[in-house]
Amino acid sequence: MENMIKVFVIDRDDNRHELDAPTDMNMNMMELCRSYELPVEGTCGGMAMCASCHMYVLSSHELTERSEDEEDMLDEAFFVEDNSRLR
Amino acid sequence: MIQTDILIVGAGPCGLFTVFEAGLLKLKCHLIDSLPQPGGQCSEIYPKKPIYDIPAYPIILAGGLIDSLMEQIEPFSPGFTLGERAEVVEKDDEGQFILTTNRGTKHRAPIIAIAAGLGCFEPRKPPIENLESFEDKGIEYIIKDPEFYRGKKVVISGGGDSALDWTVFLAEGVASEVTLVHRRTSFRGHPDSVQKVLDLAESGKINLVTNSEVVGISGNGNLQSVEVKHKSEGKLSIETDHWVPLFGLSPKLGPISEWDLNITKNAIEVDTFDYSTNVPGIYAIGDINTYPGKLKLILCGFHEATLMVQSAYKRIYPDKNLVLKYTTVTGKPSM
Repeated sequence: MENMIKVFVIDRDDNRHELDAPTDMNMNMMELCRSYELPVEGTCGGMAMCASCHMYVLSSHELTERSEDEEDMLDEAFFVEDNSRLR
Repeated sequence: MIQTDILIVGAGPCGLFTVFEAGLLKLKCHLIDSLPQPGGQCSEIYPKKPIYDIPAYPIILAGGLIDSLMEQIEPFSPGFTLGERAEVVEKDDEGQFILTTNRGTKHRAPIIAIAAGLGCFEPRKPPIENLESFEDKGIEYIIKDPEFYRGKKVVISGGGDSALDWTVFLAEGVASEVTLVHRRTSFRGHPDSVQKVLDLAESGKINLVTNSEVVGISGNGNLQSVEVKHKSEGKLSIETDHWVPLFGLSPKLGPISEWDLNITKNAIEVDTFDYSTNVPGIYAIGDINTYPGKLKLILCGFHEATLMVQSAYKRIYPDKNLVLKYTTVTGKPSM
């Protein structure tokens, strides 16, 4: 399908989910997970204010560097690893 | 005992606007909020963030929105119980609700409007084994009285302003030893505070442990040491009397979940006719409620508050007919 990519998400119970992500809707991972009703908290709704969208990026895709806001919020997250992102 | 017509749980934008709409119907309101200032998330979490979807404001800062709402409801002189969490709801012989806060303040009203957003803000607790067994036995999430730490060894965790400011304060002749543990080498706090902490570390007045986090705690009844894991250099143990993890606040539904309300996914189910809950006399408006088609937007909360007070009025005065009056006709709002 045009403007669609596949994203694989592994939840905390180790279940693997295959998600179709539209590339033309400006969605972040938290929103994509929510649209599939996966139980990501995302309390602040994507304002980089709560760190409850914390996830680990397991694939080797080249992503943009962590933003300053993201680093600041990761200070309030737990189990932070090198591949931790707030997405 | 504080008596009012509508007791509003939550002093965020939605709760504040409820005062205005209730005031137009000559109903008195009193607001309760666990935070020390009104405004909810708008004041606590993102006061400097611009909001673009408030009708008639192409842009308004969240903090500015709260200031304007406070000005708008001023003529109706609402009461406030701030810094206290709404804890227990009971009914008295006359069918009025008695709401008691965690500090024991009692409020009485025929109507409760829950406008509690995501719940009340509580300190974010690190997921460490045995954490709870050392709470108030060496682990505190908030520094209430710095004198409590006089002559004691203290470990603080975090990289924000409160972690930095308390480190500086306790290091200046209060605690006997201060250690600041932080995940990375840079801090998000105010540059002045960051510099002060770096200077204190440089002069040996504090122990600054960066690229590290506390991963374990131990003690015999009271806290005796924390285990700190460095990113690359392994673990070390630090002897201490206190550990104060300062990782900010996160909202929890809290005691509201015990008020016999129907709750789905941390939100209160309401009837969209009047935003009433399953408990007659208790309403839920704004981000805390859920119904088919719900959108968590401030502007939707304003709408819900407006319809809710109409229903509340009819509950309080079942024999009176309510006629909608435009503010352009009634003129300057007053009680």
